[in-house]
Amino acid sequence: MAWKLPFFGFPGLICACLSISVASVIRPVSDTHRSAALELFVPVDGSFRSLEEAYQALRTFQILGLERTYDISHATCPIISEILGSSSKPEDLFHALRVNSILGCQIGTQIFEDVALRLLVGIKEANSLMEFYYSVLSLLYIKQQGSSIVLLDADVIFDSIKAHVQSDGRYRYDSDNAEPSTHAAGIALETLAGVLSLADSHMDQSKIEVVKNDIVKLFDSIKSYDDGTLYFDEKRIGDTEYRAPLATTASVVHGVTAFAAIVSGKLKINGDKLVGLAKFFLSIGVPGRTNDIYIQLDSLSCLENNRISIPLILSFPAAVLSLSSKDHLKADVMTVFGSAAPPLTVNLLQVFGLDSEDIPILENKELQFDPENSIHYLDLLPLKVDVGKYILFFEISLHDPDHLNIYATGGRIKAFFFFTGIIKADKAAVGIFDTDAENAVTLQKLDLSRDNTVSLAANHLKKMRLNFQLLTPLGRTFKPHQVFLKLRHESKVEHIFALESSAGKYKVLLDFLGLVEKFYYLSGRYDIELAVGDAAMENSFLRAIGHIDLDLPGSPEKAACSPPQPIDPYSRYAPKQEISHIFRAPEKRPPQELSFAFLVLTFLPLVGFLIGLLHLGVNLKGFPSSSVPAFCSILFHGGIGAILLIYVFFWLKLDLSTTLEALGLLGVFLIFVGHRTLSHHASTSTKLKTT
Amino acid sequence: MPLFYPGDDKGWRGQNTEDGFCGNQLSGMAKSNTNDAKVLIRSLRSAYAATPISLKIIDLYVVYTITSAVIQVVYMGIVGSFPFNSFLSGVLSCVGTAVLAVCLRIQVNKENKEFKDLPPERAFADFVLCNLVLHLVIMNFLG
Repeated sequence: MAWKLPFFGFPGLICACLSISVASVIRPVSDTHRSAALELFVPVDGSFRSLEEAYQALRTFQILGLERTYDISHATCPIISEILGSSSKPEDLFHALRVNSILGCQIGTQIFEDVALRLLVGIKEANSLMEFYYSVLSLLYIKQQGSSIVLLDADVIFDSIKAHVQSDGRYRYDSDNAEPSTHAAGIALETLAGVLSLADSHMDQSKIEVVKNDIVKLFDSIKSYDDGTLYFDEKRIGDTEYRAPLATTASVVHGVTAFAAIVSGKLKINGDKLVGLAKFFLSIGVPGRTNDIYIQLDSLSCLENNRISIPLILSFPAAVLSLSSKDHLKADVMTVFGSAAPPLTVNLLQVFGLDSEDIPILENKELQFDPENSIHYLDLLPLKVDVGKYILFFEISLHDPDHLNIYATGGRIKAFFFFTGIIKADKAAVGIFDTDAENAVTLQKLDLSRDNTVSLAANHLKKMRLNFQLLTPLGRTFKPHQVFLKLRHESKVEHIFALESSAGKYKVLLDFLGLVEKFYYLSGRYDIELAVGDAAMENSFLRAIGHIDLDLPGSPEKAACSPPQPIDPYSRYAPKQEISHIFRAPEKRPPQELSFAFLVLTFLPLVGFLIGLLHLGVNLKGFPSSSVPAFCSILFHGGIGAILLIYVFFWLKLDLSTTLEALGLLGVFLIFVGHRTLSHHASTSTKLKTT
Repeated sequence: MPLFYPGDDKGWRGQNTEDGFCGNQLSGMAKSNTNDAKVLIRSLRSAYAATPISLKIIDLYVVYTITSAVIQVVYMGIVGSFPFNSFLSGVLSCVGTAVLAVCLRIQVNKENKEFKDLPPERAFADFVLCNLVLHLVIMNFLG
């Protein structure tokens, strides 16, 4: 990083806060969910993209009390009428009917009865779980509209659905698909509940008991996170469609609560498991996708109104408390939707420090109740709690014993808390001494609550001592996360030393003899700063102690130079220094007049040659007279001239490969023509000789 | 009265002298050396006049190229050898073509028994080809 991060104090505190708050971010559904739902579910041109999404939107708004937000009946009701009027699949009927259950479109009873008849016929041929699910739940929705539906052969259908069950409580989607699925179990339970509510006569109680036992077995496969949330998950096997824990858990919650609502007698499920499931849904926070927020709120609504146990959520408005501001430890207990809980007491069972997890610091404190704000609170001051991170265990006890059958409190609840406070730094002193006179040293006192301007001087044979100690508000020694001593040279070269404490006191000894090389042999003024920081400290500080004039010996030749200090973090993007290239000194060229003189002089031998030729009486009488040989001769001489011209171009401009190509072509031509010419010349000269 | 008298028109001319006998003898020897050289040159010139014109053309060409090379060497001597490759190109072009011309002369000379069977046109064709190759290399090296 080009810049130095401020590594102490406030940011550290924030990081600690974030790490704590992740553990206890569970808060009941609030207005944040309402505004998120309004942002996510926005109809386009008066309707949603599909009936499934329309149902999700309508159900979410219904749960949150936002029914009047959008009116999509104009666009959606015709679609529903069309689906119900035509012979559609049970799946389409299911989606249409459940949207209609909220929208309440004007659809005639006759249509419902026709649909019901078709479904009742179709259900006899159904064999996969989803077919049963869609058919049964569609019939249930039609029944809610007012039509009287009776499912004959309910026990046959019950048994057909139950045939898909596995030994561990999971179900298969159909008899062909061998993979059992927890999600399918939820679907099956919801379907069974629907069958029971549509049945004309009471179902055999033993069959219902078998299903109850299956549910208990299913709950044995529940998984948990460290913070007490419980969920269901599927195994990823090959190509089978994997459903995330959210969808799977939601399906199980739906199924189990629907089944529990229908049957008589309680299901043998521990209410704490429902609290764990409720915490799982709440720990998502506010989801950002329509599907997720629908699943979350729909499942929570099932849990809020279920017949097994209504989960009560213990949550904390703040998990970081300031001892200096005398914060109270506050907790509130609500249902998942923020409704008031029955009268109860919150007990703080145990408090453990992070380093002493066996021995509790505190035990059995009861939180007081403030009825105006519906908050349980505890005053920490008389408890003499010190700064630091703690694990707290709580328990909720209901005042009315009957409520134990209705509500689930969640047993022993674990929470992380962080107490911060002002740390006092005192008995600070700094001084310089010789190597041999270690004990007899006069230290100058420092006040670490403000910047100091101590002036020291030393050479490489001396040592610097710095003492101080850190105390918590209760007077105990404190070991912060970060304690650094920084020496900064005038040239901005910095050296940082991490300090260790022994028995709670910090006694720093800087031996300059060993540090000469580390300091890059730089003598001069060094500014001294002390930095102390910890998440539990509200007053983490960076204090100037003063400055020290160091006289170090000169650096030997091979010593490392100090790293160059960036003037500006962005200087790396500035233009770089100009490079001065070193060129070879150009050769001395002759004066132009001399060159021209010799140019002329070079042509003189040529002139002499031509004059000599004339003097010898050279003529062109030997040139062939007849046309073809003459033409060949002309071409021969022309070819030689062309080649010489190519050589000139080669020198001026062309490259070797181009020249060789041209030369190749001309050469072939020249050979051919030259052969003709010279053979003609040879034949004429032999004729002359013979004659 | 003249002492020595070659008598021939082509030879030395008689020389009048009024010196003494010994001085006459020494100056006579020097004069005879000069006369011998003049006679030798004259005989060479007359013999050379008998050579065929084609050979004379080739000789003229050789003289031309060698003179050209000498001028380039003198220039290099004056201004220095930078750029050396150009100097070499120039000089070797002249010298190379002179060498080829000499080879041509040898092959074309009818009195040369060794190349009796070689037609002069063939020798000329070789000369042209070798010159073209030489000048390709020269042009590449010229820079």
